[in-house]
Amino acid sequence: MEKPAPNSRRTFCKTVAKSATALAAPSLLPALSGYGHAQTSEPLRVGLQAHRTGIGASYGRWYERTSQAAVARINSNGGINGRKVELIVEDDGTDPVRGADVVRLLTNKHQCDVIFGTLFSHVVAASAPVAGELKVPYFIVSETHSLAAGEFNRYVLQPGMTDVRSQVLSMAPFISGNLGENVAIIYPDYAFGHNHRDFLTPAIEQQGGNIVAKIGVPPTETSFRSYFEQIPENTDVLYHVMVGPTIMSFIQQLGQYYENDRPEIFGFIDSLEAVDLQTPGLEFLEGTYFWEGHPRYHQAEAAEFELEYRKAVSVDLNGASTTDQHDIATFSHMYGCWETLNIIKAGMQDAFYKTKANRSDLIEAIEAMTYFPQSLDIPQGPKVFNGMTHQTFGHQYISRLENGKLQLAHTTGITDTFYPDAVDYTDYSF
Amino acid sequence: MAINLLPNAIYLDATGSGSQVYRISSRLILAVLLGASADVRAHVSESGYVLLLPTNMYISSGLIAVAATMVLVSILPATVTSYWSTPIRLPIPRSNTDMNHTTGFISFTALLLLLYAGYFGNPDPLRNALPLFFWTVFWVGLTLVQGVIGDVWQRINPWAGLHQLFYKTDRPYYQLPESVGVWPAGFLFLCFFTFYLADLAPDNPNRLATALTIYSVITITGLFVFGRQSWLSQCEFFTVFMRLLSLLAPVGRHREKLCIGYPGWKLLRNKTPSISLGIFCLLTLGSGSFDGINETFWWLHLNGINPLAYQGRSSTALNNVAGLLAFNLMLIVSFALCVKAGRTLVCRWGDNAADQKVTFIIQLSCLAMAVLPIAFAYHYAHFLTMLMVNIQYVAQLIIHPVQIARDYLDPVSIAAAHPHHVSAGFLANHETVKIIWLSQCVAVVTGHVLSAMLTHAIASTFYSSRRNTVLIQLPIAAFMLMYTYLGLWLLSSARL
Repeated sequence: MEKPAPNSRRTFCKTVAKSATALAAPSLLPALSGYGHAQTSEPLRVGLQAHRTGIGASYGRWYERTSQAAVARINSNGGINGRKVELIVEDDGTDPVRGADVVRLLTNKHQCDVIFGTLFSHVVAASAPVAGELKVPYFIVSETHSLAAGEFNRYVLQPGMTDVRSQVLSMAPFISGNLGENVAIIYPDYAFGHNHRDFLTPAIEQQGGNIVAKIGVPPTETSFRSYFEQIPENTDVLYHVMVGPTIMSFIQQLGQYYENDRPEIFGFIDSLEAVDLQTPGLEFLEGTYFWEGHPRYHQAEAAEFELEYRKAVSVDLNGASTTDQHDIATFSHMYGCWETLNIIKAGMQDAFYKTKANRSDLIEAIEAMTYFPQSLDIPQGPKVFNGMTHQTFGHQYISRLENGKLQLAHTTGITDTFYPDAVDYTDYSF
Repeated sequence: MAINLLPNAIYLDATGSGSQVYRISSRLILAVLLGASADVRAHVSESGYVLLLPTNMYISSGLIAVAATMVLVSILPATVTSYWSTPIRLPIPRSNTDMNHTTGFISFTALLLLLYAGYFGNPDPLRNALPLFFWTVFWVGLTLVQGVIGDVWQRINPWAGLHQLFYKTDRPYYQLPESVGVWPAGFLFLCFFTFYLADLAPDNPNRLATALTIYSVITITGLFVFGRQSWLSQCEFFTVFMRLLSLLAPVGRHREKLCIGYPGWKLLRNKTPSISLGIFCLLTLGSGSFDGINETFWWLHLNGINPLAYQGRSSTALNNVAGLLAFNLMLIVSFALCVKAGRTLVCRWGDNAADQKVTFIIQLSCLAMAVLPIAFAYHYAHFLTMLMVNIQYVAQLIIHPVQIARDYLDPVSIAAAHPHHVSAGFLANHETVKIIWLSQCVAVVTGHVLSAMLTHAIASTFYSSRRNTVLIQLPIAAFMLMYTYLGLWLLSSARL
């Protein structure tokens, strides 16, 4: 089990220490098949704030599939506290205004016990205050750092998905130690790209490396040569986080620019999530590295329940739908829905959840959790949960593209993803 | 650890997203602005694969094809082009059975059931029958059927069906003046597009049911007060729109006989349209075109919106309404100026100035009808991918209605359900995306080719001199070539 380094992660350790005894136990998740507190046969209502339509629809489709599969499994194992789980799906159109409406609808009209599943951070940011106002537990699966930064309230938690800051931080040791010291960052010139630039820069410098160029590309740009020309000659590693429909043109033009003499290249799979890596034009990426939240291609060393998870969510060994090999899953992100639902179940069991009056008990029960061991409930890998910041921390994966498939090259330690706490939500009132 | 989280404020200028959120409370604005500091990201849509294609080559080929058609029809003898409007009789006896009574009643019952599903059914727009049938089957699917098969809508119009139950023969209480034209239908058509483009959630079952109920009440009242004939042909915009598109279908009735001809022959046999109908045709083209423009990175950039951090429909609602109105206005004015310029050319360089007998308004109305094939092609090209995905949801609903109803009535039985995943893998594969894209391009080019041929056939009816016929078309030909470019550019550009 990973333990945080005490000298640099003082506040986080405070939380972990609180539960030191519990940490020693093999699992804080109660036996998931156990239930025995049934007071009613009414199903528990779990609201999925789904990106059914809009810019997030390709993620939303897989988030929903995964959630349906997780709920089916929970119900086939007896439900939660003797009650079946009902998944209520409301489309937020990947729109912050609708997102806030959906939280109200799921809470007031559909009488959901909890709400979960939002990915896009602008929807989260607009929905979180409403969840706090309505006092409904709101479990996000977003990667947003805003939660751990203290921007939300006590009702918002992210126990099943690591945040972008911890992901970027944990890449720095691998990049500096294995790929080279001089790093050039090329990023889309808006908040998403700025996050990567601003989180990576100090992390690389702490490892003794140098950021030799920070190249922002306007979001609507389609011709990239003039930006490639700004990459210094002494660059060892090119770190790219371009996203959107122009990403494949970007890769194609990068290949034409460098031909056979390129630096090492490191990217985030967010750029090519749900994209077939064998698409013509992407050959240039062969031998380059990617961060992955959860390896898309089944790895020989994967845990035994990985196959069971893939089967449940209908994803094959190459990360595609079992019914359509061209329908690539958003595999690096969708595990978050599966894990979050299992953590909600564990929390409800710990809190002896019966009615909506127990919502605060549920939040306290999850805040008390500190470690989720890897299992079929938590297939992506073990996680350390920080009850104060409501944020989970876990292993990150670095894969290399070999023969058109991503091969796992490195798994970071959980401690590599830690950063100082910025908030203690347990001090906030309900 | 020496990492400092930078304050969110430094990101706000870079995102520029704050100013777009105008319809929400200050608290929500704050939340959205804070959210802008986090990881909103755009996905790779099929347009990412399209950007890899040699689209410039295809655009050039399309333009050449349309230009060549224009030249060809201008030099072909009038006897050849007259075949255009001459259909061939089909050896199929005409059925005298009037089924409209029955089909109308069935479709009105279906409308009531769909409204019930909208109000009380599954809130998921892709599992609820109302949005799936309204947007996918009716708005996208039936529109295409109208242009290919003919006027199916006339037989299944639910509101007319209800009226027929009460009055087999039309019986208006008040006569709608003919001078009203189809202006009311044009206005309602724009209202519909405003709902479609700017409403926060037009596919939300409840919202859609409310909108459709309001429209049904207006339509039923109109039918009973002004009579079926007047209301349907002047105010009920779905009927006006669907009838116009059915004029493109090869099969139709001529002198009470079933005939087949070149696409658009019925349009040439149609009586001289009113100016309001001509403008309605331009509205269908303008609105359909803007529906594509509003998704492009170009449009979003023009409005100061970062497409990679798109904040959803709420952030573009007002811009889209303004854009819809402005684009339609621009299109109508440009088209009218083209007709005017054509008349000037005829006056100045035509064979005989006295040949100018047809008024400007009539010429404008008639020539505007010729844009219908373009509007139809845009409809196909724009909605093809949506149709390919959503028709799978419709199929699920049709094949497994019991299962889906059970999901809603007994949701915990969901454990056994949903093995039928809807797949959109064909939009994430370069080969299939190429095929889809080429079919869209062919549709757009064919639409313009048909339009150019119809323009020539219509212009031939204005003048006895071939020279005049060609001259009046010249500005419209240039306009259509530009529109071909616009259509193909829309298909090729980066978009949401």
